[in-house]
Formats: sequence, structure tokens, C-alpha cells
Amino acid sequence: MITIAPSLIYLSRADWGADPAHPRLGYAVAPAARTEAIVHHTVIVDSDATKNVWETLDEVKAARPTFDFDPRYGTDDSWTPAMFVEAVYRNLTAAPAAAGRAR
Amino acid sequence: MLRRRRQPSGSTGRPARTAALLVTLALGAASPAFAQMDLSGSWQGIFHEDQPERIPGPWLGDYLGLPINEHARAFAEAWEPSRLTVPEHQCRAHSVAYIYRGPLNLRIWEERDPITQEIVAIHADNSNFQQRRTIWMDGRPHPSEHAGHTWMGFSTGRWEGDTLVVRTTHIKQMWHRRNGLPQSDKTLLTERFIRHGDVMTYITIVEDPVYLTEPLVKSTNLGFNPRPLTPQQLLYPCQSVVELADQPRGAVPHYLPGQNPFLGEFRVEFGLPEVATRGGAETMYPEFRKRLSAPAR
Repeated sequence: MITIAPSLIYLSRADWGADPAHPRLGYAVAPAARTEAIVHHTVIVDSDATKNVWETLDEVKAARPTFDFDPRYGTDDSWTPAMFVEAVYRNLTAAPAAAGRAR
Repeated sequence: MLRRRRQPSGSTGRPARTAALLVTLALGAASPAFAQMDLSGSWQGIFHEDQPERIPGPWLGDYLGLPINEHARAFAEAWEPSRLTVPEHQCRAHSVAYIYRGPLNLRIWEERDPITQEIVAIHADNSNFQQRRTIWMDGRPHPSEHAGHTWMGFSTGRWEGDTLVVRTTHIKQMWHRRNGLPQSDKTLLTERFIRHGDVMTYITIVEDPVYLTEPLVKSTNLGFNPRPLTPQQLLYPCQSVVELADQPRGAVPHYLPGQNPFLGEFRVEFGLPEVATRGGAETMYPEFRKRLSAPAR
């Protein structure tokens, strides 16, 4: 545990009682909230667990990543969720040099 | 104001007076020109109702009794509580459709036209995130759907007897429940403020065509505070800071579909079947109990 400021401490993985099932990163909280924060599982899950798990465009489309926003923004036939996903996929998978020129 | 007309000679004037009285009564019943109940003053939240949800906060994965659709559920399952550590979210206010459920000091006052003394608006300062709202009482229309959206939205009010009924549109996207269930910017909020002496019953009816399949109705109570609220009781100083030293700038904590490890905790802790905790309109009604089988552990 590291004191960052009088009102802020940094809890390490060990402070959280990290385990292999739910690897956790450190977390900054107010000292008075330390116990409460741990009890309520306000944790940060290791980014390794949420790194990209999809490879191809078809896999991304099949996962329906825009599903939660489709009823709000997905009703315009001129700009469908599929078009959005394809555009984002192409942007993210473009070679860095090409992406730079595109900007 | 009705003017007394000179009656023709020989007339008793009774039919004319009766008609005028009927017109006056009809106008008064249909659209009271004046407040039926004074809501002005200082009010505070009472938390005997839904306390676990309103103060410590709801469990992750608890959508029971909420008429959400599958899109709202998907949004919530991707939601990570540490989203609130992102600087842009740390001082983000609750929307008007949710804010009265939280810690609350509320100051209400009315604004009158100085010439006519008609009530033009009812204003309210809310200590939670220091939000101020205006409820227009002068019959003005709501703006175009393309007008700006705010946390408090655009409100117009009218009296139904002693109940103030408020209709609010133009509300920013927020949440229906503080565990990630989204509330869209298409939400229409209808509020009913009912004062009974020193207690005010506050009812919200939320219609959200994006994330709800039926209206979501909640009730809350407020208590009258005879002492004026101090400035400190109404201020909400908030300045965002870096809470996670190793969180990259611009990162948005989230779970990919199927990878949220906490969704089952509520179900297991309370011995509830998954079909109940996942919510939906059917879980609002008593008939749903017949569908419940043995708790899934």
C-alpha cells in the first residue's frame, strides 16, 4: 500500500488479495474506503483478460459488438451497424503508414 | 376575471349568472391557473424505500423487476464499475429521471411574473451533483427534438388537483440503475409531486423506447425541512483526478461479451434463478412467481 496523498492510497495486487481467477491491478482509493472498496469488489480486472479475442471481420460481426446501441443508432439504412463495424475494423487493421496517410 | 354586465331592465339576470358560474367552474376544473399546493421550501430524501439500491448501490447483474430489453442487458453486462474512475465520468451528474433517488437536499421555489403574479416557473436546486432545474408553468411548448440535451432536461408542468405533474424531455443518456443499465436520450419522464403536509410523495414514470419495453414506475418520499438549507448542504464541489495511476488516458474499462465474471454473484447470494435476475417486463408482475423453480445454485 502506497500513500499518494493524504486523501488517497494505492492498493497493490497483494492488498486486494489477487487470485489467478480474477487477476487484479492496483487501485487508488480513499483510506477510509479501503475496506468497503475491497468488500464491494470494486476491482480492476487485468487488461490481459479483456484483450482482443476476435481476429477476422466475420468473427467481429458475429459477436455483434454494436448490439447495445443498435436500437438507438442502428435504424438508418444509409449507415447500418454492419457498415459501422466494417469501417472500424478496416481502420483498426490498416497498416500504420496507410492510417497515417488517411488522416 | 368576469365582468358584471348591466342586466336589461325586467330581467332577473339569473340565467346569465348561472352560465358565468358554470364557465368559471369548468375553467377551474380543466386547467387551474394557480398552484393547488405550495411545494416551496427545503426538502430531504427519505431512504426507507429501496435503500440498498439507493445508498450502497445495486449488485452487478441485478436487473430484477426492471422492464429492460435485450439491448439494455447487453449494455449492462459490458459495464465495468471502474468506468466511474474515468476522469470524464467522475463528476458526471445523474439524469433527472434518476437523481432524486440518491442523497438529496432539495430547495424548491417559485418564480412569478411581477406584474400579473402568475407562476411562470418552479425552480429546484438539487444538492446531488449541484443540479438546478426549471419547470416551466406558463404553457410554453417543448423545443425541437434536435435541441440540446442536459442532465435535467426540459420540463413543463401543470396541476392536476393538488398534484404537480411534470413532463420532461431532452435528457442526456444516463442509467436506469446504477449497475450499468442504460437510459437513452429518447427518454420521456413524467413526474408527480404530491405533498401531504411535511411529506412529499414523488412518483416517476419513465418511458424509454430504446431500452425499456414498458414504462418504469418508481416512488420516493421526501421530508420537509423547516430550517433553510445551508450553502454547504447544497454545494457539490467535484474535480476529476487521476484515480488509477496506471490506467492509460482514454481507456474505457469494460467487459467483452460473455467475460464479465461478476454477473452471477447476485443470483448466487440470494438463491435466485437466472431468468429472474436478468430482468424484463415479466419480472415486474406477481404472476412471474409461478415461473420460478428451485433456486439455481
